[in-house]
Amino acid sequence: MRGVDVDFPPMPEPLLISYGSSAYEKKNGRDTLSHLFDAVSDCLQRAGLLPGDVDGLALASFTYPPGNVITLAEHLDMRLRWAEQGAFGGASGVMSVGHAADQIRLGHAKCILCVAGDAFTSGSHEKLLEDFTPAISEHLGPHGFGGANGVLAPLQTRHAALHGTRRDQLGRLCVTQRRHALLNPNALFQTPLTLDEYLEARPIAEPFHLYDCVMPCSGAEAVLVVSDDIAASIGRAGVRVLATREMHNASPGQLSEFSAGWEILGEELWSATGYSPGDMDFAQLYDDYPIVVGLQLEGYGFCGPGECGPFLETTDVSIWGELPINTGGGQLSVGQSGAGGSMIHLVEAVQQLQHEAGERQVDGAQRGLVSGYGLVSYGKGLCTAATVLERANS
Amino acid sequence: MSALVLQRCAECDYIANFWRIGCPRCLGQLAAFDAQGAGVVTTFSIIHRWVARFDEHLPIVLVVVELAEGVEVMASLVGDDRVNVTVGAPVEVAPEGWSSKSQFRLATGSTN
Ligand SMILES: [Zn+2]
Repeated sequence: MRGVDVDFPPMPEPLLISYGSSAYEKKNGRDTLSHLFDAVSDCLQRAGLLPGDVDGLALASFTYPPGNVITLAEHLDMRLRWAEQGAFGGASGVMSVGHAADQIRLGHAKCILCVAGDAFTSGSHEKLLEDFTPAISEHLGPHGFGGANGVLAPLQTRHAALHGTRRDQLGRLCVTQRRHALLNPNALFQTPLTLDEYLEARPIAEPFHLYDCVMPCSGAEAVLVVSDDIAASIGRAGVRVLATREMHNASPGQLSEFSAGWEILGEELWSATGYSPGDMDFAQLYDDYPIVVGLQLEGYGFCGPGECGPFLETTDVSIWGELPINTGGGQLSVGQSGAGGSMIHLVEAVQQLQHEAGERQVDGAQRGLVSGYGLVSYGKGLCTAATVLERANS
Repeated sequence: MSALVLQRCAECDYIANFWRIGCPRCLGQLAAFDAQGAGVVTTFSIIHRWVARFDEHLPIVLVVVELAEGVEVMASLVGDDRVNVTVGAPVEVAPEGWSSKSQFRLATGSTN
């Protein structure tokens, strides 16, 4: 048949091969482009590559506009065959890696850089949140809605009312993530956090108190996905993207539905990979708030529905424990670099699977789950994506 | 603002929980109507910190209300007793609200 490829060549295998971060800093520091450049530079140099080697680029950033993914490519002299502007909040990072892997399988690109980050000044973060989506600026802004804190705290209120979930249960996650952050030089929080300090912290948007909330900061994160032939020439351990799923606006028009689609994503990921939650050596779960981590634990099946409280109370989720969660300290203890928060868990996952996490290395890590969640709008986060990654043993 | 205005579809009776340009279910036209203004709190948060222009209203009680019409809306409560809100508390539209959007108060004869 004319016009149809009858001889399909074997599909290239996409491999995550490198990661990079900019040096995080509090607000009013370097600008967005500086952070994006540092993360790109760190990621490419670790792989021995340069911008001219890149033929695919995904960017997520709230503060880079009017710049976008293509003007970043222009700035860095990249000639692209694929590009994606991630506008999916805390799900942008996982989505970009899933899409990049698919593009490499299709042969449309061979070396795709996924980068995300932001830089904030005083007041710019609140401004971003007040106009985050049309429904927010129109309907929630006039209520003094409290930003993401105010919109998502009701998840915890309802979970507590239905299931008896307690702050001291959720707080254990924050305390553990802080222990991880003490082993991460890029974390902005470098002092230990006790459960008492967590419990006694001042209220922000009850039931959220200070240590339930991420600190907005400036920073950027990047990972690199390449085809297997390029990976072979780089000579670093590769990480396979076994399966990725996404869902958006999982429960249209409903507000008190907890799930952003996690149980459906979970079912499909476990079915596609042949693995189950117990096979994961770690989970990097989007952590704007501990209750959101709890809901992901339930949705993906690490514990039963409604049981995240008792699970976090009785499970060692440290890097030395049964299920290491957010092994780099997560956004809660590193800082939330805007859209960079969608990528920080991928950077940590790749580093762990390349066995380069140093003092915080999960011993012999072979595979893990990475999950993103975000685009907080009218009463809920709209975007969800998750991926299962595995160290390639070649 | 006292009345709670919602939109209903003339074709299929869909009721929108926030303003839509047209009916998401049947693509028909939506028309505004005055809702009963009564509902039940399904969940809430109590906000202690936000941008300075709302300081005089703190703490702000942000609520999800399931309205008598069957849709869930997000709004805030007014009244000195607003922090006594609970999941399941009945609420009604408050005529004395400070927001440009409809606000609610704990209904007379509720928990407090
Ligand atoms: Zn209709």
